[in-house]
Amino acid sequence: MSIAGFAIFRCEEMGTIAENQSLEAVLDLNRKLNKEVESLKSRVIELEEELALLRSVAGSTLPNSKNIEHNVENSKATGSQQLSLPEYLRYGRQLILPGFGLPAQLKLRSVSILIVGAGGLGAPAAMYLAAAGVGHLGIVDYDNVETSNLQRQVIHSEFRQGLSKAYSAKMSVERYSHRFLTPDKDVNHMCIAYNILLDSSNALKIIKAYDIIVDATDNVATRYLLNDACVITGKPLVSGSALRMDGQLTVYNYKNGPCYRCLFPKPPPPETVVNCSDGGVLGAVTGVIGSLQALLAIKIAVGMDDPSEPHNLLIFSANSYPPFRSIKLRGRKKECAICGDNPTIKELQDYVQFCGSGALDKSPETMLLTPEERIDPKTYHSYKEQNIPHLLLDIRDETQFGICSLPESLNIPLSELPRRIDEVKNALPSLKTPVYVICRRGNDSQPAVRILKEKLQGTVKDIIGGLHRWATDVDESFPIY
Amino acid sequence: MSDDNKITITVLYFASACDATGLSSESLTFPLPQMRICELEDKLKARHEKLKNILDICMFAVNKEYCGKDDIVKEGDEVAIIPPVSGG
Repeated sequence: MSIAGFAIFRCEEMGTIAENQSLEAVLDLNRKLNKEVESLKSRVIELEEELALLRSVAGSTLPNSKNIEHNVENSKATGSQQLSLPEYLRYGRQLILPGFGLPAQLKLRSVSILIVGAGGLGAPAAMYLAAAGVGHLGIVDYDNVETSNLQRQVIHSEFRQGLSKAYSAKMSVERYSHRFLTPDKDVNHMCIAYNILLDSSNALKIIKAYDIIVDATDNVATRYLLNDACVITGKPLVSGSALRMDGQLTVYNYKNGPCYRCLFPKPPPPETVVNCSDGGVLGAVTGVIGSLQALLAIKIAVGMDDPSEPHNLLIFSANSYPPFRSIKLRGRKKECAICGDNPTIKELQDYVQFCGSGALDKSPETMLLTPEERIDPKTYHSYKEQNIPHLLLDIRDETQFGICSLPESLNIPLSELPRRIDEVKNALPSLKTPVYVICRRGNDSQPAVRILKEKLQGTVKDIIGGLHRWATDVDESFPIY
Repeated sequence: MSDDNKITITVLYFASACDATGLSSESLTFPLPQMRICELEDKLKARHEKLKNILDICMFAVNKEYCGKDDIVKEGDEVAIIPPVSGG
């Protein structure tokens, strides 16, 4: 219904009420209506803006996996040695900084920076770099915007769900900067969105076109890929990472400093790597690190970094005191496999194989149990309905159990299960009572079944897909997180 | 008076090392005048079962400076154990 139609409908409603109720009720409804009209008007403006941006993104040539020869150099043609009048006004607050001034602003306008990852780190990094007047930004991401991203990935919005993160980031960045940087409407290269999965086949081509690379990725394989690609092409790599309440920040391959492999020559065993989707992360923590990445990239771009400043790794722990610690690093390692004196790695590798895990921050599905050792949520639900005696064991940690749980479930976290088996035994009415194990997604429940089977006599099965599947298949009112 | 035959050091655990030990730091005394980082690594593995998989891939820093596995830890040193964080 249009706003006008909606208003007429509500006026009729108001008339009926006026006959029966006091003037106060009418005035109250009037206030509510006005408020609603205002909010609808602003929503229309928002949507029109989104639409205009979407059209501009869709209209421009977007690089994809087949078309990444998109040349950043073409877009540099507009660079002049002077600022336009609107630029003086716009960047005035940083232009007046001692040591920054006009030369730094001109350098920012001519620099090209590639941000890999438009997530929790890439969001603030891209926005601050664009806002500061960086002339040429590239944003790489292969994911689409999801609801669970919005708590930290502040570059996206509710309306963008399902849209490519790279395009969404480009839209946000251009929302407040492309008019100033590309007065010539035919040239709109200020920000290039790469909706591609960066891998050994395309990384060098893209990276070569940029001056500075920002690693805002969320997985180990892409971190090694970016490191190697930056060493091979000789680009500084501004690397940030964040998980839970912790973050790390450093510049690799810069001024004879170390590369990622110098510090971490061996990739972590895949089972020890925790991602944000399983481990959690606070948005403000990714915000701190991502903003610092923007700052470091700006310092490198304009040459503001102090030559006496040692190479360092900044460690941020929001829950510790002091929250920031700077670790002084040595120069590059002579025996490093890629940046050392006798490198053994001379071209990009297969990083998924090297790390034993893919370029995704989602956990792969565990396939530990046989189908006979598992039960689907609907079948479990029917057992429950029939009052078949059993024990439901929830092996998530206490925090997650506190978010939501099924009634009558016993909570023993997986990590504590081996030493708390007696509690399970005590909760069983008979030795042969079946035990059904549930977790968030049906992964951790599988090793739990293995542990329990050794100690119990009755049937032990896990619930396929965990509470997530319970919510989609059995009870839609159960929360998914 | 410090005893020349033993050292007391502070070990700081970051990120997954903190999760594995359940500690952000601890003070440890060893009956040795000094030790190498790789020796400390073995002792910590024995002390914390869950550190076994993690220590191999960690970076070590002594008194806020990067150090190699053969570097020396002395009385009063602060040793930071820094696993890579990969999320974002």
